[in-house]
Amino acid sequence: MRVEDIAITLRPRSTWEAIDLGYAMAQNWWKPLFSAWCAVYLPAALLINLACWQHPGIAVFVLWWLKPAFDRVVLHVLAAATFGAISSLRDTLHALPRLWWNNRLAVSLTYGRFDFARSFHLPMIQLEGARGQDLRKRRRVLGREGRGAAVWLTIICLHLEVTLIASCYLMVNLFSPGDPAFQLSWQMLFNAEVSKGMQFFGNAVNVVAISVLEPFYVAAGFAIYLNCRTVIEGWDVELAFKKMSSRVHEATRSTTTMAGQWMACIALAFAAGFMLSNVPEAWAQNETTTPPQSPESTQSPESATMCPKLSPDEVVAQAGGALEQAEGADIKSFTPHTGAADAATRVLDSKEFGQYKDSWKIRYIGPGFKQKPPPKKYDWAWLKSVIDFFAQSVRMLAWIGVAIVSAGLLYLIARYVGLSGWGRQSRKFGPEMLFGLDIRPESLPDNVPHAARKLLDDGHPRESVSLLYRAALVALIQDGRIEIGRGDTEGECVQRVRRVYSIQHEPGNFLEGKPDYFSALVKQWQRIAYAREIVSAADIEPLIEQWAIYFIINRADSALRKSPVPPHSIVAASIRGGR
Amino acid sequence: MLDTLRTIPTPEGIELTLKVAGPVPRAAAWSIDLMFRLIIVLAVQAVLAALGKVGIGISMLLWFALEWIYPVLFEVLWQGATPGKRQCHLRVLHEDGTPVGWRASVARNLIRAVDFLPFCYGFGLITMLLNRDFKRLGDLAAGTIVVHTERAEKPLAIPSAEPLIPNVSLALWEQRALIDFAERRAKWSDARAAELAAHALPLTRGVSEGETAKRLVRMANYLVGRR
Repeated sequence: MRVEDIAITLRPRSTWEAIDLGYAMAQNWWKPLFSAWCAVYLPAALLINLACWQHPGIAVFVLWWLKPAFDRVVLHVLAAATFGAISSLRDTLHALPRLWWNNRLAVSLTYGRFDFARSFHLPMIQLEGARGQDLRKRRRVLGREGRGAAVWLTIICLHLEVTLIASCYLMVNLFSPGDPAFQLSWQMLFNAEVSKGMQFFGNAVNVVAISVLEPFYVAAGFAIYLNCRTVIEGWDVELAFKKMSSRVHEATRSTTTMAGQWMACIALAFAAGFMLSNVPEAWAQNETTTPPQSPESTQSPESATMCPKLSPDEVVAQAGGALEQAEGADIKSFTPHTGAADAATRVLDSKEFGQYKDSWKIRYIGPGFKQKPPPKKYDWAWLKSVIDFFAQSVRMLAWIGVAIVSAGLLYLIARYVGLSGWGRQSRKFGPEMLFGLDIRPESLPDNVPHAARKLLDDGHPRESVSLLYRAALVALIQDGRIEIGRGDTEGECVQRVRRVYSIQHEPGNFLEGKPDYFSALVKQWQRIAYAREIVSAADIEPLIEQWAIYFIINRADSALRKSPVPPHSIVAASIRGGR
Repeated sequence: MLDTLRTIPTPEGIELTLKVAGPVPRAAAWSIDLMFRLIIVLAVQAVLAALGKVGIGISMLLWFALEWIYPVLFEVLWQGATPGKRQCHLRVLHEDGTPVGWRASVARNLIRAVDFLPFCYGFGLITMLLNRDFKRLGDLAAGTIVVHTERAEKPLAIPSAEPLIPNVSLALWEQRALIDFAERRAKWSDARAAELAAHALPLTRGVSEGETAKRLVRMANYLVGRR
């Protein structure tokens, strides 16, 4: 097979779209497909039904089991048509032995029958001739793209088949007057008390349904296969490149032939113009359709080969169509509209309507006459118990569901009302880590300014400021008027403090200085931690003195306190961390 | 060329393409919808069972609504798709590509009853198989069409390389093919990529085999406007 000959548009599709393409392919080539199918399948069906004369049910099963054998015929015709060669019925019949012999048919009819992606795997066997290890590899490679949809295809097609079979049965029932022609029930599946004629009718319905749907199924699997190869091997790109090569080749070949083509185009356009000028009114009606392209509108010499957008035939057809349309309009305008009512009255007056007829039938009712016993009613009691059981379990499930939902609701209510011991306590206190600092209150020393002064005196100014800053953050978060998120920067904290505490306090209140203090603290901290400047003790001293004016730490229950983390290690870590 | 695309020219001279959807995806979508509806009905019925006959009445009304109103509401108000269709990336449109309206949606869903005959969409299935646009009777009557939706547009994924002006002037579809090649280059082995590139003979003539694919990727870089 050559990609250039392919008769379908190659583009990467979703696998579901590929299935639809398969259906379109089966529609498009229905004649060769269904003739080949019928030529092989119908005789086989007849033979098998005759062979299983005693047990018609077995014939259905055998025919169903043999599907892969007939699939091969469909695929043979389909593959030929897809690559541009529609094979005749004789060729197909000729190819039959080749299709059935040495084509892994034995596997496909034994354990391979349970392959759920049958129609998708078939092209690899039949067209690529892959066997054994190769086949397994191919299945794996292509299956990555297409197997899922191919399995669904099989499942859905199975259901469509059942639908069609049941539809056929019910159609017959719908159109049989009086009593239904047969009772369709589940009993029929298990009781053999169905007449033979009925069984063979069922077999015929099966054959029809499978004949209608199987070519579509095989085509869809083949289309998935083609799509997988298109995606994986870039067939569409290959085709486009080849076309481009030949276009460029043609365009650069010789100028003389090209001139000839130009002449042909112009002549064609003139011809088209002439024909259309003969039917001016018709053209006026038809103006919305595409007018013929003049060759001047094409810009590059390369496209000369594709120049005539309308072939001569199309031009003639269009002109003819326009003429017909004009004539049709004339005829229509002279048609009287009043005849219908008269005709209807005439029909209603005729003797087929409104007649009564007595009909007589003689029947023997003398001695020995027996009334037909009424058909026994099937006892559905067991079904009721099944349904009852089902209803009971659904009810039980519903109660369980209600219980779960109400328990969940109770939990949520308890959590938001704030019952102790419910939910996550830490919510109230915001994040535990900020800028790499531990900001749990438990991690702070009891007297913050005191501890800070001690650190400063010991010659650790960094740790001292760090402690002040950290404790300030803890106090702010505890205060609850500011929300500090995990991702906030120091600058954002300062802004928030400014916004909240400048508005909420009247002038003169001693907390008025809080934002300024906090901003000064942050500034010192940034100098130390980020800029790594040496800060003198004089700069830190006022911060330590004023800290207690503005901030206070509320302790959690001392019994719950964890052991404080030494501040040194945290500061060191945060500095090393580069923040 | 056979395809499931339908093109619709707009007055602005733009061609819209619709990918019509066939029986298999539509059956899948319908089954998903059926499942949703069954779940709703069973869940509500289990609760309504406590109300006795009133409950049965309410649940029958609910089933009526789910059968007749559910598809219409979803199709008109939710971009032409019931939940099942959305799951299968399908959408209902007018034949001319415009979003489906109340009239058409009601029509196609009322005629569903005919499609359903004689058993579980027997007529619908046959009509779809006989019809190029895979329309069931309801679609034929209402003038609607079921299409595959476009998946979310992926950003251009061309490996960047130094742009190179193609040495042949290229038609639009050839440029598209070149960009496709570059976008999907990563999926192919080097050998396959070289093989493909060799087919673009005018662009790769005289280049050593290992370089052809790279050369095409460079040209694609030029075509998408990298300079």
